[in-house]
Amino acid sequence: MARAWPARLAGAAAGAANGLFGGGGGMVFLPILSRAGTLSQRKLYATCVGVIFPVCLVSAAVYLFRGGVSFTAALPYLTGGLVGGWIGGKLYGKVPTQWLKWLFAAFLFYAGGKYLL
Amino acid sequence: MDLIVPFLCGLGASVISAWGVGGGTLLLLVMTLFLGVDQRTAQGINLLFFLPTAASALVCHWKNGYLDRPTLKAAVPLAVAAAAAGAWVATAVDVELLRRPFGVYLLLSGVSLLWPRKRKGASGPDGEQPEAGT
Repeated sequence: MARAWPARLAGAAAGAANGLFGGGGGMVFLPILSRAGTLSQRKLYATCVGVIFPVCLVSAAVYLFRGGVSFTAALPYLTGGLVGGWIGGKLYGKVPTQWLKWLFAAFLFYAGGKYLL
Repeated sequence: MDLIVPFLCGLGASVISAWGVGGGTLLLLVMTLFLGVDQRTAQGINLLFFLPTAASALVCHWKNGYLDRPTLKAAVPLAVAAAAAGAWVATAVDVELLRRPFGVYLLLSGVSLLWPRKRKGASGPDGEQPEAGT
């Protein structure tokens, strides 16, 4: 099964990055698997969530178990997230997101610089 | 005030990631750069934050048949093992050690977001790159 190797590699890299940095594993998984070119765009994105979900579940359990975080601290963010997910879903497709992408990329450069300096 | 600001940040991050922009690291960065949350706590919150959103998306993808089983079978066991190891390291070492690698990681994410689907020849080593999600 030579075709399984890109998936294994992408999974291992995404899992390690996501556990280490607490997020963003999808940004590792997508480029690797998309290069392998075995899946359609839609399947690729969905499958990415399918890999990142158990990754986050396990990482979160480790963080909780080892006292890296508490539910109490996370709760206000989580409730905001639930409301936001609902609003975001309602507005989905009605707001152009290209400019948001540019803005987010700019923010990533700013943040990256901040972390490096 | 202590609850309102985190609530609003969670809300905003969730709206934006529902549109497929940012996702995984946006809330984390807002917490560490603007809210003064320490890196490790922010990472832990970010992980918990992703779970409900991802779970609901996953149900939807599964119903639509978009989950590719062979890929999941190959990727998930290694991904989960690597995640456990990564999370263990993150909670074991001084997180200050992770600052620079994380900075590089963010810059690379920014680059891959700005140059999506760049094709340099059919089979070149620098093939297409999708837009970064989650």
